[in-house]
Amino acid sequence: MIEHGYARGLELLFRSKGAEFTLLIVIILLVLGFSTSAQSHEPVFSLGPETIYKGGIGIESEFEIEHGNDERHTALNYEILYGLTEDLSFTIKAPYIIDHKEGDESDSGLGDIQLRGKYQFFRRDTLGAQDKISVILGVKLPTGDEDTAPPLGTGTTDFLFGLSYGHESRTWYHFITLRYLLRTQDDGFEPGDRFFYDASIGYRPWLREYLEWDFVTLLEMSGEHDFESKLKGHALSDSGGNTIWLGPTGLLSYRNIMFKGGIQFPAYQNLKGNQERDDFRAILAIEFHF
Amino acid sequence: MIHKTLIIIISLISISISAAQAQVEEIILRVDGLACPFCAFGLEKKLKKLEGYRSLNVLINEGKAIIGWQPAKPVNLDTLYEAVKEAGFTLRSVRGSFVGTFSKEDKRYFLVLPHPLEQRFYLYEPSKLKFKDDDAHRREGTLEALNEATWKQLKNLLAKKKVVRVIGSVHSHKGTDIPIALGIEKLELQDTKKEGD
Repeated sequence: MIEHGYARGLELLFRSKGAEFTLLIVIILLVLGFSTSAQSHEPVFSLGPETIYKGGIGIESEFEIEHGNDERHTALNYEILYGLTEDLSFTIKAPYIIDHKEGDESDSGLGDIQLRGKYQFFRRDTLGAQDKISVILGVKLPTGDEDTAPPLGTGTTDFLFGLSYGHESRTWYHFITLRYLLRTQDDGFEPGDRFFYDASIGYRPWLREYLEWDFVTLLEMSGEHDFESKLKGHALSDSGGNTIWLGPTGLLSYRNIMFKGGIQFPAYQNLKGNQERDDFRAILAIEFHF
Repeated sequence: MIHKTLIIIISLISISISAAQAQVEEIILRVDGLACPFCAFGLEKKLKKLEGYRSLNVLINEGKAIIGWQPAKPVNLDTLYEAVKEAGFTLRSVRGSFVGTFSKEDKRYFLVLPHPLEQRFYLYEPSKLKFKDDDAHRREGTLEALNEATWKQLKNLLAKKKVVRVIGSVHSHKGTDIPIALGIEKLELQDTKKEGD
């Protein structure tokens, strides 16, 4: 997500301190890595409990755009997924930022690479349905350039902890996913952690057989609660808040190919201090399994 | 001498017919958790690696995977369960269509798929025996596991060395060397002449 209002507020605070300001701008991109990315019949803007079959490999290319009043972010995310067992999968995600624009400045290049593991510790199979719960662990590495303007990476290593429940049936889907993004401290600046609370419901209008085109549509709600950032122990007034995104998504698949797309709008925003609002965000992706 | 040679030739022909007709025709897996076509790709990948795989038809709406089986390949239930598990699903039951001859040992009836398979199946009727019973395997193949009419039919077919097709569900006895058990759902006589042609 582009936290342009957040960044601008911080810019006012630290205008005289170049290094700190750069650091603060870096934070803007912090949440990019963990906010989206999906596998299989999962929510497009969240994560689900899905893992891939043992020895399976998934490749995904995802185009994402996020748009605010004065800022825009477009990126191509490349993901490789591997199933060590049917219950345990690992994902590596490399974002290439096509254009990150803030005011008059823009930049492009490699962003922060992320690694993610998912362990499905509960699964109940019944005829035509599955219930699953997975635990998610992730780490974001500081591979993006943090010294450019605007920066392409955060320069920090951050950690993700999550729990996801999903129910899939021939007709209905629903998912509930909770994630916590633990951000690390750098040079006295401590960006606020983020708590994601996502829920979605999906419906398959036509019951398709294997080797036929299959379509599932979802309504996704993605909640994001930002905790206040701190500088040398002092809370920053233009930081923290709550945003709830809402929008439709769709999954179209045939055998081992899936097309995914969706758009979300901020249905509710309660941001502290002077922070700008987002307009929308959208994703278009293609995924192959081998 | 001529008489002896004739007997040997007839015996060889008989064995040859049995071998040609002894086969597993198809395996039907009842798979739980099959909710979407995209997810079923993993099942396709795993089932295609099975040694006896010939063809596959996945029926998502029925929760079934029908595997066309290579006639000369034996059925290993453990590998079937493992393949479905590794695909991320649960194998609930296995049904199949098996062609062979009957055999009797220790007062038990078997369906035997002769050379090259040489695989034996204990026979039982699901209405008489629940395979989930702890000691079910002790009764499989016996009169206790079969209706009287079926028992007589097997006796008759065994005496005539008829080639039969048995359709039914199969289960293994994990951790033992007891053969796979086959629950008779349908039993039909094979037309040996037709097969021989």
